[in-house]
Amino acid sequence: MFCCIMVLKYFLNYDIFIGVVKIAYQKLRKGDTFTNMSERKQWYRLDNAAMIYPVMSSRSWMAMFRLCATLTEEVDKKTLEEALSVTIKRFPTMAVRVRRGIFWYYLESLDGAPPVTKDVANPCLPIARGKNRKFLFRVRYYRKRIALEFFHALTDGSGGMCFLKTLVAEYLERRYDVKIPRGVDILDCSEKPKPEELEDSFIGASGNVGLERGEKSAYRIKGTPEHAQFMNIVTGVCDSALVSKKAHELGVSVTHYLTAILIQSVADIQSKEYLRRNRMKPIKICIPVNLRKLFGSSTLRNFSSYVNPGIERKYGEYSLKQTAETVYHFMGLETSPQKMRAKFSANVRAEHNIVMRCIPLFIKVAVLRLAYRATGDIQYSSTISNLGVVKLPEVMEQYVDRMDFQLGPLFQNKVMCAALSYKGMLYINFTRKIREADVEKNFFRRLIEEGVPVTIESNMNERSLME
Amino acid sequence: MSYCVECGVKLADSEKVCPLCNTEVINPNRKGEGDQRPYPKRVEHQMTGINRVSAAQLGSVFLICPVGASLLIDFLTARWSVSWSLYVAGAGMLLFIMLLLPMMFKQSRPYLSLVLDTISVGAYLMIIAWVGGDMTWCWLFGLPIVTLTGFAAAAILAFCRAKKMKLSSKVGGCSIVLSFYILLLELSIDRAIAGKLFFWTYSPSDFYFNWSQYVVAPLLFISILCFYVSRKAGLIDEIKRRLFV
Repeated sequence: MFCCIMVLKYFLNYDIFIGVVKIAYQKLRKGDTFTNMSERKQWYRLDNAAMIYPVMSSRSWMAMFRLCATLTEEVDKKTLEEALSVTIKRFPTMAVRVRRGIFWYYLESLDGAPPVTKDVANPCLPIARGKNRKFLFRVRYYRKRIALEFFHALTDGSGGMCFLKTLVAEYLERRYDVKIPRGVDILDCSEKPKPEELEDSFIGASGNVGLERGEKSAYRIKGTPEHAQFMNIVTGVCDSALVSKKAHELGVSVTHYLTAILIQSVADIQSKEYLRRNRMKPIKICIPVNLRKLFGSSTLRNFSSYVNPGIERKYGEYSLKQTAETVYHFMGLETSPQKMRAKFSANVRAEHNIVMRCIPLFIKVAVLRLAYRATGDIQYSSTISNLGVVKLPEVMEQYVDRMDFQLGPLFQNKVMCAALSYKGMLYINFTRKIREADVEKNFFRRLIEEGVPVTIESNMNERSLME
Repeated sequence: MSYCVECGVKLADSEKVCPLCNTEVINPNRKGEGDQRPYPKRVEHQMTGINRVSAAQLGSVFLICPVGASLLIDFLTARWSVSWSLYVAGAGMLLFIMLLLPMMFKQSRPYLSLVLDTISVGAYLMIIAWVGGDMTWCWLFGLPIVTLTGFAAAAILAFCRAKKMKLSSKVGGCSIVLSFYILLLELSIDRAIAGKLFFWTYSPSDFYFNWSQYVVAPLLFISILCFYVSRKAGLIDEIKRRLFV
């Protein structure tokens, strides 16, 4: 230090040197440099489910999902920006970026809000490092639609939906001068964030006994790879009451029913496989399970697990009713709080293991990448995520025509499905990273055969823009 | 609102073809473009890979720094002459030609890269020999082997890139090239030790082979086998049938 000062004194004009030292001293005394810095840079540990996402993220892939709300009138960008700047303060775990520690990744808070940009026909692309004002979610608009794209390390579908509802509520209040009642689903932005909304609920809910995570690999849907930066989206819109009626005729819920149809649709493709080995593989569908109701949590971060119901076609063919019953009984057994707790407790215990904690991040990353490649997506053939019935307060509902939920590409699986019901309509969004639309084709044809009319729309025309 | 005649699904007015089966929508009652598209005519393009040319240019700049610094330090300390810094400069040149220059080509140019690689390795050996003050080993040993290796690599590359050639023929061709390479390598090494630089200075008794024949024999056997197999379509079919995975 002394040497440095001497060198500086020698090379610099003495008066300038003294001036710089004085300013630095004053800044330190006022504390406006370091004190504010420590206040601003709030940091959070990643929740247990989010651990894997930064590890697997790359320039070409990030676990993303998208939620949209279509309003009755065109979206005003300025009002949306204002609404966003207010909303984001209520959701501090959304205003973060991922940083590397020595042993773990962590989330570091950011000031401001992400830019509000025009929507694109190829959503859910990875957020490049340093882009989007470093935020890990995007806010987009197109005509009457407000779309949010989240990196899964921030939150899950339920947390994202809460953010979207609150953002839309703030927007509508500003745009139409209406008063929207706030509660659990639509948060009051004038309140401070509650600690239970920011907690990692996996830790509080975990038990002492973990469950074996290994599962047999499932049949994988193959096809011609799509352009690396394009994701095909096919949306089917149908009457949710009719689908619900059909599901109840089979004695199952809508999620079970849709899963059964998806399994049957994948089975149609599997039947055409040349190799017997592929024809005999089990078809399993990953269904995310919201753990908030099971464990009484109100966290806005990830708190969901999954189950992989399916059929083993090597034992014979399954009818739709048999498939639906298999899914229903499997989920009945697997989604009990005890089973769910045991499932994520294994991950929590691994995270808290002292040896695991002491391993440097770069080794953890290498091991986790290998482990995820070997055991991640290969356990299931596709994913279906149903957010259920989305309800809005009456005053808000009159301004919102439609809601959508879309899953971004998975690491290895090529076809994903997400659904939600709103205002009596069921919106089923298929997203895929292959050219062939066989799964959707089989799925919607089967729905029509069941007597459910479906209206289809897609981003297929915009595919040519990638050439 | 139209229906797909193939799938039976109702299609949104924005759809010109069925997104599920690509069947064209023909509806005489439909006017114009129909409803607004659900997605904008805008796509996001992201840079997924590194721009090779820019990376090569950046790499060249980084390479110039140690080379320039070495030359300068050597030049100043050795009182206006250069010696050891030429090793660094030569290594820098080698790195540039072998690694960075191919990245600057818009198209892959393997033969040109190979020729440049061979020349640059030869040049680096000459620099080392010149700075060391003894060019003999370079003329007798270094340059012939580098040239020989360059030709062998070019021949193997030609076989590998041949489009109409069967895989078995390619393997056979590469084996023959490797056989000749090994024979000439032994010859070059032996003659270099004997101090004979040019082939015309060799006597007939110099053309004997010792260790190379143990390498060449299996290689020739492989090449004969490969060429034989490549001419027998039935045999290839039988092998494929028995060994398919």
